[in-house]
Amino acid sequence: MINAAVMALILQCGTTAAATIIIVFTPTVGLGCRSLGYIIYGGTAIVIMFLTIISTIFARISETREESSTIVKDFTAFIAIALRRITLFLALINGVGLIVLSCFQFSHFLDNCYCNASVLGRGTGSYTTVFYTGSVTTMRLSRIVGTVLSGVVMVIFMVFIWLTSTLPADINDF
Amino acid sequence: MSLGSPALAAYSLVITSLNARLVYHRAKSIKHGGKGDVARALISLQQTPLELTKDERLLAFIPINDRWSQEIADRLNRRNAWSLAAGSSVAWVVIAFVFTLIDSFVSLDNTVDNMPEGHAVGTLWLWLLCLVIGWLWVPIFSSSELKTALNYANHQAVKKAAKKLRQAKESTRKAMDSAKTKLARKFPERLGRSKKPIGSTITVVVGENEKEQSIHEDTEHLREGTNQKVNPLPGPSHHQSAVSFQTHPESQQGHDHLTVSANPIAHQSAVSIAGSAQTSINPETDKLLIPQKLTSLNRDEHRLPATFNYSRLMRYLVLVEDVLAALDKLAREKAEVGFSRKRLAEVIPLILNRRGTLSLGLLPLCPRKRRSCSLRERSPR
Repeated sequence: MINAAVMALILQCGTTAAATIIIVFTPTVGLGCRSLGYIIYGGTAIVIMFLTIISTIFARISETREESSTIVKDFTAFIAIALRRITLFLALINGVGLIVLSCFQFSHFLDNCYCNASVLGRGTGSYTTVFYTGSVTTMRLSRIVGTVLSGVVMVIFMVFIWLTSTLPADINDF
Repeated sequence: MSLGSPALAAYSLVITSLNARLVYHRAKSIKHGGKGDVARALISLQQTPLELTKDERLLAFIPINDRWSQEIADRLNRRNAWSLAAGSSVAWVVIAFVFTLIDSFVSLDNTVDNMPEGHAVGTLWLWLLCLVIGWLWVPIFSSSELKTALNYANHQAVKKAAKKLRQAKESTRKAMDSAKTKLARKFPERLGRSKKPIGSTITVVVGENEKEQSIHEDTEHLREGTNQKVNPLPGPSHHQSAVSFQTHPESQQGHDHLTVSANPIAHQSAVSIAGSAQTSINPETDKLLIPQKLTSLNRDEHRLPATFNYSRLMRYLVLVEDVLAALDKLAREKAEVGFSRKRLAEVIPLILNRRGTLSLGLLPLCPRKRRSCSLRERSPR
């Protein structure tokens, strides 16, 4: 269970962080609309995962408790069901959010002064960049880092799944 | 759901994969011929909420020759779901992403407009690629596939159990009939002496210690006036005893009591016979693996895709433990008791051949109640 949660966290954080790094270090450097969207998306996904795990634990407690302890049974059942519904709702919003964010980016809806100036992160000190000439090195580095990070995370996850899902051949001749 | 929380989907995928390993390692330590099939069946059954039946008669039919696990394992043995379509889709995604990367790095030279939208969004969605490839590696089945395999396997197991029950009952009856006939032949004077009327009752008791259960069978008249009662010998000596007979006339009542204890026979048949006396197995309602009812509490467990395997984790682990424990129990009983129903049927007449000196063969079998082991007449009071 813990292994699985850790692997899931690695995958989620890895891909989200890589995307965020690429965006944040593209001038104007700082937290903007896009990167904030990514972070919210990744954070919500992780919160959903933990709440759901808690929900399943409570559901199991409620299910296996003796009939006599109605209070415990009802209480845990309530928490489990409430958490399940909350997470489902959150996941719905998060999923729609991801699609909308992607659409906004590609339709250049976020390509405006406010977002490009990273006002969210820089506040009053924000500015827009017209020519990127001076920051090509930073951008190249950030893109390399982002790509490598996501690639490494992907490889780790895939190798893990590959290794665990391939059972020793002698299961067939037990 | 997996769009909203890739972390959750990844978590489910990883536990699916880890559970398979867990089953493999747990099954490895069990010494039973059918464990490979059972393990493979268990691995395939993660996609639906199930519980193992508490009915011991059906539990005795988990092993390989009873088709249950074989059916499921064979029907749901698609471990690697790579097809041309899946492969080319994945390849297409990978190629598109590589082009995006190239574009992103090439456009660094463009100093006016090079917001890395494609690169960033592509990276953000990269988890999907991992999950899709993972889902292709870890076996996932559609609900109809699962349902068909389960129903078929359940039906097979129950049918088999019912058939075995009938056979066991039949062979018990045969054994008892032959024992009865021999008794009548050996001791006609005793049987004839009783004046009590009509009908003979044979009660065979087979079982383990406290959990004795019995079959009552009214048989045709042996000779008028015989009431043969076949009872178990109490006590732990049962485990060593094979077959023992006691007769001690209770003269107050004028009955001859013949006590036959057959213990232990293979647990499987014992339980089967015992069960058959009380209720018969109904192929329509009795199931080896019971699908769980849908309630608000476990609604997620009924959702099929691998994304929802997380919700079934606890129930699945319990199922694995139950099945493997039952299998382990069977294996150990089989090793301990090398005594089958067939042998019981052979042994009963053999012992009865020793007229009057039945104790010779039976002495070691019931050390605690040695006196009652011997077949001898008591003078009527």
